[in-house]
Amino acid sequence: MHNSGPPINGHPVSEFDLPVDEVTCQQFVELVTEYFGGVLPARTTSQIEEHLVMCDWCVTYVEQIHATIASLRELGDERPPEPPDAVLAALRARKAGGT
Amino acid sequence: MIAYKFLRSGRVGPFSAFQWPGPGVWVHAPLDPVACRRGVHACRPSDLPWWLAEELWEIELDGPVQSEEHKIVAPAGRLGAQIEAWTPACAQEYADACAWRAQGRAVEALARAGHGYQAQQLAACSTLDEVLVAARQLANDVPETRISLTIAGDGAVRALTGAPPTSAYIAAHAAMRLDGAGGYAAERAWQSRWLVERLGLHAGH
Repeated sequence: MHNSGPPINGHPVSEFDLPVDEVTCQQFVELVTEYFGGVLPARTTSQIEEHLVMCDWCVTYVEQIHATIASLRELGDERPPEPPDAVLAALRARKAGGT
Repeated sequence: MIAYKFLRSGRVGPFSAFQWPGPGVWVHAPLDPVACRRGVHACRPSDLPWWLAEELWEIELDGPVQSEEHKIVAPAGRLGAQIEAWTPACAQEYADACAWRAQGRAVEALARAGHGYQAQQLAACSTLDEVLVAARQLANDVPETRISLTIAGDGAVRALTGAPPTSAYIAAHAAMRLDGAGGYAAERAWQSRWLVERLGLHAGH
């Protein structure tokens, strides 16, 4: 891990070429699933948590993920309805036609 | 060993969401501690700037204490006294102090680049609002110091909007912009000293 935190005044901090070990916002987004899964090395986990202390952008992102997970849980096992036969037939015809 | 621990309001762990019992009640990790996974995590004074949160507590640790880069981990701990001096007003004071440090770095960047007049302009600011306006204007006027000035302006914004951890982070990066990783470490050390002195903590823990 190296480089940067949240954008500074709209500039990506990677532009600033920083020499300390930190997790960037982009790296955090890429690692968030593994972070929640608890499978990251301790050092990376610590760097992510240090980032979350000071980056309200990424805290908001985490809150959105939690809200999404909660909404999906509320749906329970309800399955979406099958698409109508006419739609399936049209998709098959389109696929067969190669378009 | 006595150390410190930042918690969210109501003695809640910022990442574990663990509700700490009141002072004096021992909490034991179910297994051997592993940093960032399980165990009682705490701060040495030098670690404090990385972990700011609403409440600051003394914590007594028991058992072998592991030292990590910015934290320590032990198998057991119990809260001691809450650090009453760590209030929202104190946190804001810290954020402001960090923003002024970032402004100072930008002044130094201008001076090093030979822009003495502009350095004086920025140094003459008496409020963080003025720092914000001046830094943004000078960032346009003096492209070679644009990054230091942008960082200073953003530090002012973050302090003005009440984000102490971000303000401290920005001040550290302002120092790093001028003096590399050594500047970053020195700025974090300054932040730790500020907290120790302002809050009356024990620096030797």
